[in-house]
Amino acid sequence: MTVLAILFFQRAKTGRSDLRWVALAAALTIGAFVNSQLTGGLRVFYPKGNEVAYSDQTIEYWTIHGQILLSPAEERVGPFYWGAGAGAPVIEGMKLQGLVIDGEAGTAVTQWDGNKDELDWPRFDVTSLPYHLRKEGNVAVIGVGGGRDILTALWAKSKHITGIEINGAILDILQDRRRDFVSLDQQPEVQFVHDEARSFLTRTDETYDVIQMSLIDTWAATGAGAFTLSENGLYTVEGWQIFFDKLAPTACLVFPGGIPRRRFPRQIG
Amino acid sequence: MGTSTAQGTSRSFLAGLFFITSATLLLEILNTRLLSVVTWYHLSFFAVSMAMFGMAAGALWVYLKPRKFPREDAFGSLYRYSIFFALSTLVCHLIILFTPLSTLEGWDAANLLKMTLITLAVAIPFAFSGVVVTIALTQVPGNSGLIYAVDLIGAALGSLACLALLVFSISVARRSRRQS
Repeated sequence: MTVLAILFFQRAKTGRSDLRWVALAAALTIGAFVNSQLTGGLRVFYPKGNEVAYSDQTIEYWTIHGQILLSPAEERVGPFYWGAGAGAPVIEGMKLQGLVIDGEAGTAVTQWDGNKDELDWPRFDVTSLPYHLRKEGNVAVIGVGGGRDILTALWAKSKHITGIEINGAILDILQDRRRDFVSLDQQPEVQFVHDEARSFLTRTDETYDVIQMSLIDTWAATGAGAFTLSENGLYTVEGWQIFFDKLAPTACLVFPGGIPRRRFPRQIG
Repeated sequence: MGTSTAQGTSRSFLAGLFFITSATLLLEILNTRLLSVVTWYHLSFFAVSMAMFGMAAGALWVYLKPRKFPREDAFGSLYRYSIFFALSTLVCHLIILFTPLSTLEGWDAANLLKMTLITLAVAIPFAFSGVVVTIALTQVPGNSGLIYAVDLIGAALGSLACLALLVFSISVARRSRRQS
């Protein structure tokens, strides 16, 4: 745009256009596209001051809700537990991909082959607590992230699981680019919704046996403003009233959180 | 002949103003996203403050140094300072990308220096843009209502262009992947 402005100001000044500016504008546009495809191109190298190593397998998105970086799949000692209970299994060589929002908020994208009979490890995580009380129910997961809570709901044989995710890039990963890696979209009981959770729950007529919102903090400013984080509308009295209204009788509303000193004041605020 | 040349000049000037204000607002909104990643969310809309600071500094520069910006060479100034805007955008964003700033480690001298560097890098392009817009609004004869309207329409569309790039890029990429 600036190069086009230069072209037109030159024309206003001299009465003629130097078409080399047009060529430069085209070259810069092509250069920007090529840069976005290159592993070694210009990137945000130090999000929050921490160096990021990009590779051919790194997937990057820029959205109005934050920058998403999906690291290459690594064989690790898994699975990733937010809080492992006694006897939690450790699986050697489990493949996980780190998904980071705006260089800070992280979630794990876990490889799963879709075999529910062998899906047992989620029950040992602290986030599985509601499913020990309410199995085989109708579940809403707010903030799908890497799909951890969906896996837990699948372990609990939930009849219907609605995964509500505000960031389209995350759904693009789960439903398209890593669809076969996570095997969630193929499950008939799983339905992904691209929406802001409070808006979706306000409009839907469904009621749920479990509404779960696990560690959804992004600390990422959305396009709406610096202090307008995607989670802000959820941590409100009005938001919680909507969640309570959408609970079936004897249902569970679960908001696991971590790092209490940082998060607890926001949640009670 | 003279009239058609004047009209041509006017159209070129308005087109240039349209693109420079579009680019300015697009850059400002992109900076909010960039700063949210490079620093923290509470500093992301620092980009808006720095854009306003930079543009005000540019306007003040034109006001305080009238000899540097002679009215009779208004188009020449617009041309030169648009080039400075383009070059400074490139250089300043390289500085932002290559300056590691960890605000969690406290505010020692090195971090303060880095923050100052990033602050200047965010503001400087807008100072040049401020010069261009100020000259356009104060030194170019013509229909001031039309000039101001083009300024605002360009800025508004630049903002929307940034949103469109961020919001629709995923769906476009997804569609193209499915088609391929």
